[in-house]
Amino acid sequence: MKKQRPLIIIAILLIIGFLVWPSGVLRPVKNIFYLTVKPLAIAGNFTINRVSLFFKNFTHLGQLARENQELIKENLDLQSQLSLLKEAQHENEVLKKELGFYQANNAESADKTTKNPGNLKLLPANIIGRSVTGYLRTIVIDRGKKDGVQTGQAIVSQGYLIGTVKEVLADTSEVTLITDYNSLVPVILQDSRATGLLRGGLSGLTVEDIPLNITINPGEPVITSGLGGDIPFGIMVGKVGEVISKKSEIFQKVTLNSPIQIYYLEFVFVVQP
Amino acid sequence: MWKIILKVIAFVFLVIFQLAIVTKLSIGGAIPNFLLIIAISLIFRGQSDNGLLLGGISGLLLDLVSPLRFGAYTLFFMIVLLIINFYILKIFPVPSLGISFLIFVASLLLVDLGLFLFMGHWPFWQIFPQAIINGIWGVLIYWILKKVIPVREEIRIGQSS
Repeated sequence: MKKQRPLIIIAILLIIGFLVWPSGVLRPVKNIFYLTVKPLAIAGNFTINRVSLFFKNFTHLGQLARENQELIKENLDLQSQLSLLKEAQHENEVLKKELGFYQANNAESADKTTKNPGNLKLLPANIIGRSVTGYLRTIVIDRGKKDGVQTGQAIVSQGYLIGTVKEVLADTSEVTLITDYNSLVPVILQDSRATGLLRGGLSGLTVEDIPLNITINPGEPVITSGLGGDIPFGIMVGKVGEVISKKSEIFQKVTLNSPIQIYYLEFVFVVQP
Repeated sequence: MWKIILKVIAFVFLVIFQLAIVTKLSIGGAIPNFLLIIAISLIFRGQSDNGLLLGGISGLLLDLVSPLRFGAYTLFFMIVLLIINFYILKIFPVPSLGISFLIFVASLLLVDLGLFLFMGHWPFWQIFPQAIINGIWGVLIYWILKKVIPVREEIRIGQSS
């Protein structure tokens, strides 16, 4: 009987935990546990990333050189596109002024900075935990209610969306990654202007429910649509890979490539309104 | 009493290690479940009380931080560990590395299937390669623990009626 005592205590804790879980009584305990994990997690993230990146770089020198060439080319293309866009923006503002739009919209934009991706208020946060199974893709960040984090807010890294806040505790928050199979984010394909739903999963990211009459261009950028929830419009998500839906289906489905390697991330940003 | 408290503290640190460090060691998306692997290995070495205690503590703490309803990890960890302790060890009292690999794979499949049941979702086919990768980790850890922990043999003297 004495030998079984720890097991009996575990069984009692299991029953109590199961019963009180929905009331949220265990949330402070959860918060304290995350804070205990935090120092080791930050040190672990830093060390393991350095070691794995060292070996990765060592074995992929040829690939890195090719990627570097491609990035230089892409950078030059982007610079030329940027100058064209600046011109277009200037022209747009002039035309808006002409139409009498500008003042009205500008006044509104003072409290709607989230509509402009360039003016997003970003709160930096360390990643201090990850889900134990490979199926549930969640992370824990060291920012919580005290920092003004709210459920549903977007989490970005290097300008790309990586998830949304699922649960906010006092000092920490749980984030559902876009790669989680439960994650659904409304998006727009930037060139074709088609709307769709970004879905995660073990097989990779996909954009579903794209209308059949839209011609999709592989490689076109995909951004958040701002519809529903607290995810602002215009956050980059990735680029279209290939169309994977069959001809008999009533909607189109494409794969999506994100350049962000969530595995190597150490810190992220919470997008706040 | 102190011995149990020290064991509990050590097992809590093992859970923190799993959450902070081991989750970064994923291969092909498969995160090694060191907690279950070590708990099973302890049972293989005749330390069923320690194995079950580790299973229970790690289950409770994983439930605390899991997005699933509280109880899923503890329940499936304990079911797997009790099956191994009371049935599998009767057939394979000291399992070889080959048998232990099969037991690790089957255990992790059972836990994953249980978690999918809890999620109300049909299991992904990826649970099979992930269980195999975990099985390889399991054999490696069991092999190391075999060198470190001697088999604790219990001699039960029963009264003949």
